Amino acid sequence: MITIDRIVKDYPLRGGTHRVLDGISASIGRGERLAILGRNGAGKSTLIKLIGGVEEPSGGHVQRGMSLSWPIGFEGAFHHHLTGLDNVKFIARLYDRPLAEILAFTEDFAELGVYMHMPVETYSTGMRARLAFGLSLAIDFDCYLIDEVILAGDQRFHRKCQEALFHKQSGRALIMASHAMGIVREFCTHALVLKQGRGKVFHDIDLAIQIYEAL
Amino acid sequence: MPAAERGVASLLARQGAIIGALTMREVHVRYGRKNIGFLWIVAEPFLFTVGVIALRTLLPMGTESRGMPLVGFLMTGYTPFLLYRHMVGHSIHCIEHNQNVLYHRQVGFLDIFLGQYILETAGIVMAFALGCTIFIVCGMLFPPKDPALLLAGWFYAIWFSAALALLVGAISPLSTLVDKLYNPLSYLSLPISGAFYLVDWLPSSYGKLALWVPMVNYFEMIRGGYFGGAVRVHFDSLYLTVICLALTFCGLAMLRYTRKNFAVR
Repeated sequence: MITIDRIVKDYPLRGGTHRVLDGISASIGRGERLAILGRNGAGKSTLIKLIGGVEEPSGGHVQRGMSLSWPIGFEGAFHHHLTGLDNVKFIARLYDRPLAEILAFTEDFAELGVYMHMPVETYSTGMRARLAFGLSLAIDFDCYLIDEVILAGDQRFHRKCQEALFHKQSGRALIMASHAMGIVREFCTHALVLKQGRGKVFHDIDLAIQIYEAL
Repeated sequence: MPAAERGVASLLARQGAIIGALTMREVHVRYGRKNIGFLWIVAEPFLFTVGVIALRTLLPMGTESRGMPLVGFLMTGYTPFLLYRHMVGHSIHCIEHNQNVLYHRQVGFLDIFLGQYILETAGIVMAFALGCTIFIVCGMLFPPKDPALLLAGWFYAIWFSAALALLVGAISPLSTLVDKLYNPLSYLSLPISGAFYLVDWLPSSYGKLALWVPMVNYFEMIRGGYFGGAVRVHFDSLYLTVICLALTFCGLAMLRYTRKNFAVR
């Protein structure tokens, strides 16, 4: 179970502070899939960073009762000057996992071939997404935190991701910020809709999507 | 071992492994996997010392400096100063440059800095030891006379540099003033630091003033440790300890504040 309890986040802005999130609560159990919906700038990415522990909330708590991936998105997690291989080695050490196993799985999933020996800064967005998903699946978390990135990459990559993450048999929980309503409608069990710093959880996905579309 | 102690021990081991991974990563980022890589950090002070010796030999100024072999005087001055410059310099915007590791929540701000400091310390201390050994083998230098005092001096050099670097590094993401001030202040600190003079060479009133500069105290310890009775040194290790403790405390407090307020891209 992962619980976020009355999360508040302020950022300094022009001498004062700007409240991006104002008392957001939600929870997600094993195998559940939570969508985070909201317009651009509604605080989806900020919330993902707070849940992932990348930044600290100004108020409230996050409780992580199962293993939770780092926020998987377009940016972050990799050092751009290092090769894909060096990044994999570093992250395997960080998560205390056997390198050979992690590397074999990542190479198989990401299909980057010789590009593993190139700096990550030379990768396309799709390649970065493949590396991030491959590596995080190799480490094998109970719950995945995903920021939009699901739209990157080609058909083949989409299919692999859906098999690994979305299908109920995978048993993995998911917290996903997305504008792709097709994916949300098909796979998510509940949704958190964000508007002007406030948020509400809906267990009726169709209702949540209607509200999101009316924002 | 009781369970609680075992828990703490394994937690420490895990954090140690994380800092180790950060250190290794920093080696790859800074030196890559090409040519001599990490050895550059060792080679640089050696090249500097050899360069100065060459200049002094060309301009006939001798290779002795008031009872100290010049190579020893330069090595004991340049390497601790380099440690300070590298630590503080690399700490500025260190957090921004390493944002990507913050995506992994087991990595704290302090781990990032400690990873850097281990690398700097290992490199510079190796440079000093290796450089001195080469000069000793060549017959240009004698081994240290008082190794305990020499080690104590290096201990304070590392502690002071790391504590100051932590404070500066913790402020730097929040204020661009830090990098504006760093360059002039760092050049200014070279002549006053004690890297290239001894307190005993100054008139006594200036000497007392110089000892208020924390760095001067550890340079004196290092000189006293290396050259023993050949030089008269002055230092106050209690004053130095208080300064280092205060800097460490301020650095850690500032780091907590920055952690709360830093926005990761």
